Amino acid sequence: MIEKEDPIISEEEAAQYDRQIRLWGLDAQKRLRGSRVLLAGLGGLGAEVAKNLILAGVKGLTLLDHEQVSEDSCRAQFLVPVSAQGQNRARASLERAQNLNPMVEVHADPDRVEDKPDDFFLQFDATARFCSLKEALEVDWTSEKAKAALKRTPLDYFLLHVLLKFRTDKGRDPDPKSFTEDGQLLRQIRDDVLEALALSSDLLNDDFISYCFSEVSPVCAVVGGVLGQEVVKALSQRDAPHRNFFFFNGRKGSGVVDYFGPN
Amino acid sequence: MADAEEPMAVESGHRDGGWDGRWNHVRKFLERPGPFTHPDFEPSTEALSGFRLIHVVDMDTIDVSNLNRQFLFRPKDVGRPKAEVAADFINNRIPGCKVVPHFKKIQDFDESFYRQFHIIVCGLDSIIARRWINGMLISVLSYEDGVLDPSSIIPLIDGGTEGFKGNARVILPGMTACIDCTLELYPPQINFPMCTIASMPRLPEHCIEYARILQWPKEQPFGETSLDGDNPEHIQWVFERSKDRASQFNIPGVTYRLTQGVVKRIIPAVASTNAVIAAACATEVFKIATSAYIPLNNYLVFNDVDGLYTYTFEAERKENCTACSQVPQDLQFPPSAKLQEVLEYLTENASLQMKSPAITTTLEGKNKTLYLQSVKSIEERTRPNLCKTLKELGLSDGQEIAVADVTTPQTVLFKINFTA
Repeated sequence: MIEKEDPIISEEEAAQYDRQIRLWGLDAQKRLRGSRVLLAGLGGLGAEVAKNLILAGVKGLTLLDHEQVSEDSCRAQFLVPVSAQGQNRARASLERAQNLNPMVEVHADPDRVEDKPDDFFLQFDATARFCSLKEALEVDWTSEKAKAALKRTPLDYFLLHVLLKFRTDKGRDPDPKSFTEDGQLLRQIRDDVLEALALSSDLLNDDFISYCFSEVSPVCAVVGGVLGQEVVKALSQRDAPHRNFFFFNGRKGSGVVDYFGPN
Repeated sequence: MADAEEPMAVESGHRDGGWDGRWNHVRKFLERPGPFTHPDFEPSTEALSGFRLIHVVDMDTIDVSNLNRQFLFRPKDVGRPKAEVAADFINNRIPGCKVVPHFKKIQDFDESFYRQFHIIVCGLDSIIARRWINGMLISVLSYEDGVLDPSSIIPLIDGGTEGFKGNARVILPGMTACIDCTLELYPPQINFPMCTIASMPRLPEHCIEYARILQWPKEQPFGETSLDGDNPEHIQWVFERSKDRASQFNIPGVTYRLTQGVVKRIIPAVASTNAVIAAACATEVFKIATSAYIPLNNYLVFNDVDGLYTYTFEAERKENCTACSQVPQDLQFPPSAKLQEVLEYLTENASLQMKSPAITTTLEGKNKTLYLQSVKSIEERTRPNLCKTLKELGLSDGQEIAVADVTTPQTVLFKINFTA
């Protein structure tokens, strides 16, 4: 991590950020003002997080995405113009992202995150560390304690397992154009995942399939709001981050924080 | 989101277990004939979700401090009306969506305006305004033989935020809990007691209130002008007097920023909380408009001050709610009670919380104003009535009084029952 100089908040910034400075204080705003953030993935959720960080006044935000703009991108991702189909998603999001706040340095990078050398990441400020996603997903559900916890566990956690496996196997997310085949595969993966965790396949019934095919913009905004604030907390070192998953259910309008990982 | 080829239908509710029976009334509402249940309806925050015609009402202009979260506005828009800039932005950005702006107060419109809408969403900045729109939508309800006609219901989706806290709720006027049903849920506004301000300050805020409430009117530093929170000279004056007071009592923490915050009653605000609550509201509008899902039932609270807390519960209707229950409100007073006491009851009672009620009644067949504050000449003329007893004013047992107030677009009727 690069050493930061102590940033100064200009009068213009103090006026624009007044309402949030009253909330988290001037020191926190200064730390934000000196932070460079990397955001990988500019789908609906990524765009919402980008918006929240840009409005908050970080020093720099790099939008990293190797994907191209598809027809679906425009429905839930408001930074990409309808005319940008076929372009790189990060580059297509740049103009509107920058316009949100000229005081932030916004960059677009069309590369894959896997292709980046280690020292690429050094230019960004570290976010708070959780256990890795892999560890969070490797919970042993056969123990008595886990079985008791199962009742309170949001089903979305298992849905996450299924979606990640789909992504690993197919190299992409479920596509409405291949709704039937992808639906079949999702059902199959659901059965496999739950069996591997020694759980009944009744746990996640067939309804879930209809939730897997696209992003709904308001749901992106809710999760993007929470996620954005998590990043702000981490950068401003003011509060502890959530432990460690937040699930939002748009159908019921309810959210839950839960912890998954080594005890 | 379900495949577009599947027919839009109300969620049957089996899989959601306990939601089943409770939602029968909502199902009746959602299944009624109307634009929502049109088979060709395309559900394609609402503009992105495919809504075609949106009217926006806002009486405010854009300030630079709005830009940290109100992302439809840019620095060049400062000074312009919010409704108009928001409309321009969306009309230019989303093809096929029309936003019609109204640079007005919600109270500038009457029921003929509000009746044209299928759904109303608000992000208002005061409880008074919320109660007003709530009252307006209740006033357009129609009852036949005492039974509510579902086609007269206009759903109200209300969201609000303050710093890291927020809430979103769905109100079906006449059917589910309204704003006034849950008035007691709102925390009381912070107003410091006068004795603390005048003689025993402990906080920097007390010192600022001292300068604002006591010193400014006494010293009139800029002539007979009232204190203007947007005038830096005024704030500077209050700031300096506050510092003096604070140093007398050894109280740290008086800053220019704090002074401004106290004088203008500034509420901190950030993009993330607003994103969450706005999105929750938009989701509900979408669900109701498409009749495709059961709406939020019916109150969501969100708080990420410390960690993250969110909870959804069903706020219940109040049986004798002054706004929506249609139950005539009974008041008990002895005939020797002064009108002042009635006024205090109307303003201080937790379920009523009126701001400056105007009381009229019918005596000897004629309409008589007992007390009205908002017009200076009438206030002066009726002020002596406050010290008169109800008997002296000619009121009898069971007398009906009509009360008007900013919290409601319609007058509320009360019946005064005499106690011994």
